[in-house]
Amino acid sequence: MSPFIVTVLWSSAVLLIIGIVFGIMLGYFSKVLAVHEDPRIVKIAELLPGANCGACSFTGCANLAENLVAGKASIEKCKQLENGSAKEISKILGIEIDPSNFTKKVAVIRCQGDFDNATQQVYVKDVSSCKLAVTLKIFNKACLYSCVGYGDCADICPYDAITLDKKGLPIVNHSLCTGCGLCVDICPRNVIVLAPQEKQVMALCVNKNKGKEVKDVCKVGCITCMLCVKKCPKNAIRMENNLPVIDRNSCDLCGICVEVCPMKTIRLINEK
Amino acid sequence: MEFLQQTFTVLINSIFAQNFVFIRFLALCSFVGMTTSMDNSIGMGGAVTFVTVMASVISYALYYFILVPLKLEYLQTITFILTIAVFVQLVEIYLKKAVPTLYRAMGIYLPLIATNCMILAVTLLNITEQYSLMIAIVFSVGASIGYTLALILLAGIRIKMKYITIPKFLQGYPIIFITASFIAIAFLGLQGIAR
Repeated sequence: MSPFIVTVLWSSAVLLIIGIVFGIMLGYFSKVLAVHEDPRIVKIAELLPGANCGACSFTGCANLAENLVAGKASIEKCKQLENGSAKEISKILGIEIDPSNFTKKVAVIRCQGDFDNATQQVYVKDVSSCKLAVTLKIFNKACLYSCVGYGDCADICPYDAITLDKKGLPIVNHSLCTGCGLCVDICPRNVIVLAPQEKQVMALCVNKNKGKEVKDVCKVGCITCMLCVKKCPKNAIRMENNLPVIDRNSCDLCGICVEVCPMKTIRLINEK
Repeated sequence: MEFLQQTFTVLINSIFAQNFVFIRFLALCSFVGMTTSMDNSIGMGGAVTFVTVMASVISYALYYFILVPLKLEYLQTITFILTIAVFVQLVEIYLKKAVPTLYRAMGIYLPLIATNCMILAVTLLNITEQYSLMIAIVFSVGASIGYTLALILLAGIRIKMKYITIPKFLQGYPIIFITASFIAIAFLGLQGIAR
């Protein structure tokens, strides 16, 4: 045999032996240090969304699965779980669930006060967050209930579902939104709510003031004229804190309130 | 006395004058990837320190007790890569059993330590510089302290960066690379402190 072939064979043999020794070592340690996991935890973790958004107050989907199996958490904690996987998880855990808690929800911005509609005071460009603006009382809009417009919700959204448009209002992309609720928690003015993703009417204003005070600061704010309450054929609308609240159980989506509203505050949302 | 002097020189050299991130430009991927928060960078620094020291000891033994007697010195690169990979796997198995919370927090970055080029560089440099075992350990500790220092420096700056307005064309990675280059230039000024 030529010395070349001997060298190649010799070196590969040594490498093979080193590899085998390492392999046996690894195999031994993985046996000794094996972790016995409840197989249900793995199954449930696969059924959970896997986004690790943290909205359930646990450190991630895997942690929630552990707590579910241990009985320390309820399935309702996960805000983005859909009906199918919720049913399967309840089957694995052997418990009953209420399916109405698991309809898909999306974030809705309850403010229409963009640069055209809301009265502008000053616009400080170099503020980086809504929270900072509210703390320092830098309000670019005269309305003290409106969206501040510096996009904390867009920054925190883990799915890039919220973007700021050119008129200074956030826009929710419903196909990307999973309803995790992180934007609802971070909004310093509580403008955002989670609503089931189905056709419904909603008053897109959170200003609790009455008539003239609202009209001074916004072209599309609710002025508490009560027209919607009077005209609703089903009596589904009532006033709370000077804002219309629509009872979704009695509403039949006739659209009369949308037509009569003089400020165009009440809108039909989630049309698709 | 001479040993102490050499230890000190190697330590200072590997932390500052020959910093693996800023002067040798190694381990840059995890340098940029793991500096989003202070906790991340400290955790990554700790894990890398552990793996570097253990891998350099084991690969040192492998080289001098197996490869040199068999006259197979040219196999050092592939053997060292094998050692590092095995060791990272071991750490992963151990962490999963002993400290599951840390295991989850490290996530994807734990297997990524295996591809951290700084560790391979340390093991190879131990051989080419002909360090003794003690000096090799000191060198690997110094190298990982330098790496952790680099991570913490950039993480601190990146946390401050969240509160300033950056021109649009520099947002994201460009400004991080520019910042890192400035730190690297500053580190260049430390060249003279060790021979």
